[in-house]
Amino acid sequence: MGEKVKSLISPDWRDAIPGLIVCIIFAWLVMNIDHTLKGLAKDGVAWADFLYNSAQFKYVALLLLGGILIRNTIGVPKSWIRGIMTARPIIKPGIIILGVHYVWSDVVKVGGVGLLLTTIFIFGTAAAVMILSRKWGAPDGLGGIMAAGTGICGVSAIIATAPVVRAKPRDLAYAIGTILLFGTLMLFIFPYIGKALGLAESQFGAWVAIAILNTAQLIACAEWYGTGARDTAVLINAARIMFIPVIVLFALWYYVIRDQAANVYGRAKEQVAAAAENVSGNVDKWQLFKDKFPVFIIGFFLLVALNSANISLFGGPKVEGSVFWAMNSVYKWFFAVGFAGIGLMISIEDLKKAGGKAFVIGFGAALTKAVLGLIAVYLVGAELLTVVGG
Amino acid sequence: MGEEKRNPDINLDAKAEETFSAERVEDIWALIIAFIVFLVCMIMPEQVHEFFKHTLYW
Repeated sequence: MGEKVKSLISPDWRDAIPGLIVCIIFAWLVMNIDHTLKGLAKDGVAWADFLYNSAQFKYVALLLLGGILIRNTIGVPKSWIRGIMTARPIIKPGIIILGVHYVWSDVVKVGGVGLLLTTIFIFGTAAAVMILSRKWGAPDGLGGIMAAGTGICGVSAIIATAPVVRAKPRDLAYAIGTILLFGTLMLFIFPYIGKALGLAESQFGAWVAIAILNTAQLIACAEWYGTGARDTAVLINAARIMFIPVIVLFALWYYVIRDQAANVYGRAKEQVAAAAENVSGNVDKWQLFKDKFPVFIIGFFLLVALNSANISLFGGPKVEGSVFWAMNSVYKWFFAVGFAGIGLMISIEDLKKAGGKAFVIGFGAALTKAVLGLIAVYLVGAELLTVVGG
Repeated sequence: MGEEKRNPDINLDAKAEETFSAERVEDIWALIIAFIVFLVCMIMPEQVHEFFKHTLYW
């Protein structure tokens, strides 16, 4: 027990303090600039109205663009990097707390549609990348990590899948570089595409949840577009990230179990199936599933359940003076600190690492998914994707 | 796919293990922080709302 608690505290936790403080101060400054701009725009000040409403210079954009600008011009001291890296996952408690926004009918309606869309797009993209990679002669390791990376959740999925499919470290670096580059570009381009196409907030939220591969980036992008977009994106993303362990198991079956079986017995169909069954028996799939499951999402669904139960002790996000009403005022600050971390972590040097076959496969697959995802949310319509909340 | 096509790089396993235990730690911390926020909001909802909606803005 003591060891487990100890493992929660990194031995170098003190190194994280300077960078974390910088992110908190940066977030606080930008939130206040956002607040001031919003007030001025409301009062009819033309330049503020242009910046806030037309150019969409809201806190998300200011934190991301400001962070990138600082990181790549004046730079950040090495002593801050550890803390900046710690700031990014602070989005996670924000996502859990946001659970008080939803009721089960949202989860069933939006989550159901989202689950269907993500299932089609995750397995469609993953399977297409795996098959096409083999067809084009890309190494299996690269095909496997790009399938996971473009199918689900970017970097996390790539790292989760890499040892399973025995990817080469060089391919891993290319793959991560490509996914980061794609995510960063889309993060800034999507809101403008959405506005130009007149996408409803709920449709935009669903689109980014399908097309952008990284949780923090997609939530930043959706929040930038509007609260309706964020509500839809968070819910669909919750469904999506639960697929990480499933896709790792899929990659294990596609690249390892199936192949080992084929190697042992030749290509006779029924023998391969029997051998695959035998090899798969040696892998503790339940343990693998548990290891890769994003447990924080349990907290999110627990709060959705409590909010849906209408317990008077907790109230609701709109019930003044209640627990959930107070919690509803907190999450944005967690997001702001996390977005500060994302902005300050984006280094042009890292993005330049994108390359090789990973770039062609990754960009091709991710762009195709983005276009097909856009068509899908158009066909589904705004109504089915709108979070009503409670 | 033959075995020779794979690169049996043990560091990769270690790296994935390390990254995933770090992600698991992040997830557990997220749950702890959210629980603390929940508790504080139970004890003093008005003050929490006032602090995050008004006090933090200049």
